[in-house]
Amino acid sequence: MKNSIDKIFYLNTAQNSKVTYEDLFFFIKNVNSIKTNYSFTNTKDFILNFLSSVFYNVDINLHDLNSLNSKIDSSKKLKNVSRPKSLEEIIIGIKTSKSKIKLYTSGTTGQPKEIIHNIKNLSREVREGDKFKNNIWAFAYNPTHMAGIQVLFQGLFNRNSFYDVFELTKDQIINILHSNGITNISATPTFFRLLVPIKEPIISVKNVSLGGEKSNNELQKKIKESFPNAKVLNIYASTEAGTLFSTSGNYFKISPDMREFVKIFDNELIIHKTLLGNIDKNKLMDGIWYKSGDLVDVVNKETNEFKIISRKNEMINVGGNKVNPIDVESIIDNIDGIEKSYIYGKVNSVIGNILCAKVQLRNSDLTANELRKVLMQKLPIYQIPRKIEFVHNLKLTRTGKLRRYL
Amino acid sequence: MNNKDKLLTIINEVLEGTQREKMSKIKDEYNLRLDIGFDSFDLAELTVRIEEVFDIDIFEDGIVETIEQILIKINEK
Repeated sequence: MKNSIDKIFYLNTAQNSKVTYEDLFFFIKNVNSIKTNYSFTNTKDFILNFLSSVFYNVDINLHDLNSLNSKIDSSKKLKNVSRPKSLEEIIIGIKTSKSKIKLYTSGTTGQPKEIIHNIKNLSREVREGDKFKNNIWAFAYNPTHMAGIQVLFQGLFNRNSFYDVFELTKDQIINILHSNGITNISATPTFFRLLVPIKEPIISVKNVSLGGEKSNNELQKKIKESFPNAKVLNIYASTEAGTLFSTSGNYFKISPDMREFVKIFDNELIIHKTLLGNIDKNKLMDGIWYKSGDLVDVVNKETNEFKIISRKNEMINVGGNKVNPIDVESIIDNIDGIEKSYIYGKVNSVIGNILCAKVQLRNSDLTANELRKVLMQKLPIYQIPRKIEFVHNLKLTRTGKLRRYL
Repeated sequence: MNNKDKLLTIINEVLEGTQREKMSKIKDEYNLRLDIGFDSFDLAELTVRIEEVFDIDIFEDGIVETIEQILIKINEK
């Protein structure tokens, strides 16, 4: 450890912030107060606060950018705690932490809104060893999401460096990838759609993983051309269970050690409760199995290989964020002057799906901009419809139940 | 109205919808993220609005970053 204490842990060139492993050690050693209801604004602050909370076994709620519940400020003062003497001690403390991490997911009928995870669950997929110690990461996820936390643990436990590329321009990202010898990128398909093709292929990248939304062959092809030396993996993960499988092709495989915990029932992927965060037992089948809502097609029974066909639930994936149309409709329907609304996703080349609304007014001359202004006070940014169309009679498009054309 | 003015109108619609100040003019070299402040959701909305007016998906074969690149795509059509 002596040699690597001044190694970069986190660098954000756009915000001009840098944290070495030494800085990380001193921050956690000296921190006096931890924000326990954290709304993401700045990745460096987030990471330092988050890792401090985990090290000192403090429970923490992680909110989305612009989340509704994120305005509540709360913090915990650290008193009479045992302070770490080395970075090694910090990493061991984080691995064995008793902290409970509350994450949020958009709920749909019968599914949880809040998921509480322990560190063991969140770091289940972390791999350590010599093979991983020279990895250099481009950090491309929203760090308050499951995938962001998993990448953070993967890199930290192997003392890797992170270069933040979240929300940067294509040129800025390419520049960072080229000049820092980045080896690993884990991001949503939306991130890659905005990045590739790249004129001058980046040869340092060895591993690319995609998660959070469905990818397609066209995108995979462009990624392989841009990162010719990279192994490209698709990850199946959820806020409820974290990463479960990965594949370099279109088919996922349930590994032998997972077969007890992940099964296919009635063509639906079901997940054993031991792999889940803390969720309401009443929402589980037989009190044991969580129904993922993902319908699969088993292509090889012997090897347990399957392909994801569709998502049974009606969530719309907007740039890696899952939006429940029913939640958004109920917010819109409660606004003065609105009779009824209908939310749907339209396929979009940038973010996978763009959120659209059809709205029927009631004695009102509300405009689309006025409606969006009201919604900005009530919903996180990705849940606000970007295309609003006023219609005379919405009911004509329905058959009793909401019909969705995803 | 020429294509650049139409594009300015579309960009201002996106800005207005998210309660940001409209722009009085755009320059060819403006970067959509850096100079106009668009995030990925704004870019997605921009593609939809441009498609409605010009019947072209500007992001179909990869990302465009500047006003000039959008105008080239529109004019090539």
